[in-house]
Amino acid sequence: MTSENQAFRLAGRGVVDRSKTFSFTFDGIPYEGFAGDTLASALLANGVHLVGRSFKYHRPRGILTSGSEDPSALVELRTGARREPNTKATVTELYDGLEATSQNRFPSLRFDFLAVNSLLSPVFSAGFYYKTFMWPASFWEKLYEPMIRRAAGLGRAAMEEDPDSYDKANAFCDVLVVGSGAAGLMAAISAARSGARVILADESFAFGGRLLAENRTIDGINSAAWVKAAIGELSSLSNVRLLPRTTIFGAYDGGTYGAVERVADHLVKPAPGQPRQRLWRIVAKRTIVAQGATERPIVFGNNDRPGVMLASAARSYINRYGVAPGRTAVVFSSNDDGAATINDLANAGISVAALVDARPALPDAITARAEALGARIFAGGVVSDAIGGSRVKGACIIDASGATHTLSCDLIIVSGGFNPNMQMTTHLGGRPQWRDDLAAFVPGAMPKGMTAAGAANGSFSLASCLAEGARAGSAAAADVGFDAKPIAIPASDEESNGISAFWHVDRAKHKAFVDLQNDVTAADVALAQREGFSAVEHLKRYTTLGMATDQGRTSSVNGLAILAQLTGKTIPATGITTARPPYSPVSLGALAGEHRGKHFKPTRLTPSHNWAKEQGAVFVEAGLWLRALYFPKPFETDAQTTVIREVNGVRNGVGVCDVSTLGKVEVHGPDAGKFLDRLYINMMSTLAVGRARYGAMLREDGIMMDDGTAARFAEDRYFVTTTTVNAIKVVQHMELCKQWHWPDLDVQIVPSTDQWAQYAVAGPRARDLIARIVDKPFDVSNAAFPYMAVAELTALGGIKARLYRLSFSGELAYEIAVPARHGELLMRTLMEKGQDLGVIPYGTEALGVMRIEKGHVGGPELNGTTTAADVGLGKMASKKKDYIGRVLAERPGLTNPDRPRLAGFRPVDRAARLRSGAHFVGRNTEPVAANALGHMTSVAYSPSLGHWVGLGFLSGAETRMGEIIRAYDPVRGEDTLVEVVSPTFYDSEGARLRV
Amino acid sequence: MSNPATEAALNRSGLTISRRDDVAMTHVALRRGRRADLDARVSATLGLTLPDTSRTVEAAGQMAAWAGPEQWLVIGPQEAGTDPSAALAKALNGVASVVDVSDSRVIFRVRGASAADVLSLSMGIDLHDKAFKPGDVAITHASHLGVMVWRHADGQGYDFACARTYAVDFGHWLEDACSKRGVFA
Repeated sequence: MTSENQAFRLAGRGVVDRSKTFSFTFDGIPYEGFAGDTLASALLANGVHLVGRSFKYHRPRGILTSGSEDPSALVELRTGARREPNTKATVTELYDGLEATSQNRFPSLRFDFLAVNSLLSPVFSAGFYYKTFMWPASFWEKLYEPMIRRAAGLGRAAMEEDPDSYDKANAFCDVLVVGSGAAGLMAAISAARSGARVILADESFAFGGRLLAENRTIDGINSAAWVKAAIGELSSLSNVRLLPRTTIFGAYDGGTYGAVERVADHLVKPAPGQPRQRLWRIVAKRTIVAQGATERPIVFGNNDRPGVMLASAARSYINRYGVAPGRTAVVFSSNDDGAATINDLANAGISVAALVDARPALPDAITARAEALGARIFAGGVVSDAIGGSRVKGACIIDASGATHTLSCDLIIVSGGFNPNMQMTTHLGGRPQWRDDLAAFVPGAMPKGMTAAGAANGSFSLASCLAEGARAGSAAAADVGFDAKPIAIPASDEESNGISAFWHVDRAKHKAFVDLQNDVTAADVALAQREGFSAVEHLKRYTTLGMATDQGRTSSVNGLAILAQLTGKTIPATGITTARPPYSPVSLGALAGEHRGKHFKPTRLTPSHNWAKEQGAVFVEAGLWLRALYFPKPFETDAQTTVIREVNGVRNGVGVCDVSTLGKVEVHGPDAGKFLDRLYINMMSTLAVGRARYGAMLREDGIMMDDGTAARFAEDRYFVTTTTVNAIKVVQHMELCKQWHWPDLDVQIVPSTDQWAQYAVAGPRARDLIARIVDKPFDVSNAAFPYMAVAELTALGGIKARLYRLSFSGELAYEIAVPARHGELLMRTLMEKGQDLGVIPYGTEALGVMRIEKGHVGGPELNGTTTAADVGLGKMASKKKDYIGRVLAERPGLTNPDRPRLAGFRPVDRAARLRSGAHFVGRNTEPVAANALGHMTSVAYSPSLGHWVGLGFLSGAETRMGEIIRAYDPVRGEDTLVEVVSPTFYDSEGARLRV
Repeated sequence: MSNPATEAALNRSGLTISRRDDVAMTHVALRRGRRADLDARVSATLGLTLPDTSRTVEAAGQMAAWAGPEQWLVIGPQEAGTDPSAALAKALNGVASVVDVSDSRVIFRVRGASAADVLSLSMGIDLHDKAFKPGDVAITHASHLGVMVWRHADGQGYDFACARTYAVDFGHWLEDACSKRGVFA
């Protein structure tokens, strides 16, 4: 295919690969472009300028820039699950088969029904939603907001799950160079030659920055050819990592930078195993910001029309992509760089109808060149308005004398000067400085280790970019200990950089846009100022100026300059809004990386997991753990049936439950007992060797933190258990106490949760089973190994083991532990040896039912708001010692006798079901919040009692025993009469424990 | 390894991944003011000096790795039928708290000249030769999993000690990380 359908492609120009033709579609129409094109350059090559409709007014929009700052060339890329809204056509790398669609238009791009919004613009002016849609308030949520959201907006996100994968990566370097234009390349080369580890990142798919976009000469060769040689050298060095398609989006503490690499955005879909994007965390000892500068438009009437283009962008399209952005141009500038664009236009065969420059006098060379091209020259003039709708048809010019001229053209090239891209220098709080000579903000004080070079530092000429980059590179490398020698600065051709600050044509007849993406006009800025929003940060929020996805890179400075004019202040006195990360949008997929779906968090597996899976256990996620919830038999159709069977199996025979998830901590040392005395509310130093004790610990504020047991295996060796959920928190608490509160105590803490497979063996036949597991001659009789005894022994024929006579179920029970690698063997052996005893495995559901029957508190009761007294452990608190939380537990609010206390509840109608979360109110009291007496926290159907039982907190519980009250559940619409009883429903004397 | 793609990737980069299930691991924590005694007894028992910085030291099949201020992991061969830490507990009685943690963690081993190159992408620490030398140890994280890692004395690989209950997830991460293409390769 020849380029004849690319009617605006220029012969012999640009660095695109003309041997590779790519087909693509825009709004369903097929086009062609070349490898090395962006979507924007390929559209322009085909004469397409109209690419979208604007956010609020649905105005036709085109391609203003050639970079990531573009406010208006936003399209939807791809279709289906890969549909990606608000993609900038100016940075989207063209690929074969690309599908793009215009946004925010109905029914079509050329005819948009909601363009009528433009006629309603008085309604949609700055702050309109604060004023227009205030009353009645109830209309906001149901009517106004949905209406505004439908009318205003950009692309549509995909509705399906993202089919691609995202990756995260880390990198470390001596010198990070951000941007690969003249300054960046020189910095990278000078640092790399010293041997420093260098990372060079550029947001484009091609290195070179403006060197590709300008027709310049370096060391006697064309600038694009010079780039090729420079990249050739860098890629040959093993200490250099080149990251193309990578945006450094934020600077963080300690020399850390966030970056996103678009690994496969330029492919129809990623190759198998290839991530779509990769999130980099880069830690750099030194960083050189060489991100260049962004040209700013001049604000004039209809300055948002397709065909209005920044001068630097026009040069990019001509010189890098070989594309003519029009046939006849009017150039409107305030500076030499913009005015000199007439050279590039002429070289591309574009006729220059006029050069309009706000400055009363132009450099002779430019005037002479314009005359030679036959262009009309309007020194001291302005373009007041663009003419045309979906494409520029002409320009309305006001000359220095005030006379108006109308010229035909299809392109208005505009340049108001450059703003250094110094966003990164302010991410950690740095403030930019204003320079009058440049009419621009430049980086101020930068974070440690960061410097800026070249245009990003306000040094706009090619010669200064090359020199400053080289200096910055060797200085950075030398700073971190490399012997960096100065390198030769290549020669470059000359240029002039004169500028006179000019922002806004106040004689415009039409809407003059400051922020194209958020549809903020010069009139909106004036309105905000009149209404008192005359600080930049207020202006920004009231008008939304600079708050769009382009971060206001083409609009912020213009907006504050207009504000400064209106308030009569200088620009530095007006100030600039703070740029924050990200520099350009980052997809959520990249931030999530591989941590999605089941990989959102790690999964912890218990030692008996594989065995439980074989048994067909149903698992539950408990924090990071997967635990067996219950073990259904093939004939059991509902969970309740299974759980009842498991509870009965334990209460009448013997059952085994994996309790390895409980937190386990070795606490050793001569002061271990003293240490635990200070942690627990009860005494632990008096615990005899070979015994365990239940304990509770408080937070500093006197609220219950956790409960568990402490076992003492030797004078200086305790073994502490915690609840599953608090395992890590308790260890952190212990470490804080040891390292910070009581560094004088000789105590050592070793977390050991993962070391032991620990199983509860419970039920009247538990002893029979345990006797078959432990090695002889260990005596498990009640006399030799009573309730709360512990021992270190061997089991299963020589395997190191620990045995604890603890019971959570209320039955005769043991917990037996072996090193975790033997956990599966222990479980299989228990099942095998207990077959004739009717042994069953039971899950956490049966465990929970039995603890409620016994009135043991669990997570719903230890909920971060309850005290030891609230949960019935008040008497456990020692009066003879100090411990964490003791003082604050004495606060009047926590000792108030009316506080809801733990009690048991059973339905008066024994067939009734109880609900956790139900509120307690008196029997004859209205169920309103003011009458609430507490609430139900845990409920279960008790197989042992044959009806539902509940635990909960009730005000004045001790005096209400036997009282009938209402358990009122407005959420489920239930209202049940319950009797207040002791929380211990089953074996209240504890006789079954001690047999 | 779990799938052919992973295996192919490991072959390509010349890496092997294995699990060291045959080792005994003992946590040794200094008792207050007993450093000189501890050093003497460790020297007599294991023939090595406990490091004060994040390093490993090896002698006669035993390795001691710095595991935090005043604490170390001693790693050696596991002998069937014996309590792996009993001998050390006896030798260091009164001067250190000694806890068997052989089953607390699972050690994964990655070997191959390109290990640093491949793993550097996925690790939160700098694995460059200048930054993480042979014998260096770090307590860090890999992906979202906590891990202790040390570099082999010959520089040709790494051991990763991760909590046992996370080992399945960790193993998947490690295979995944080692299957990525290195950047300097």
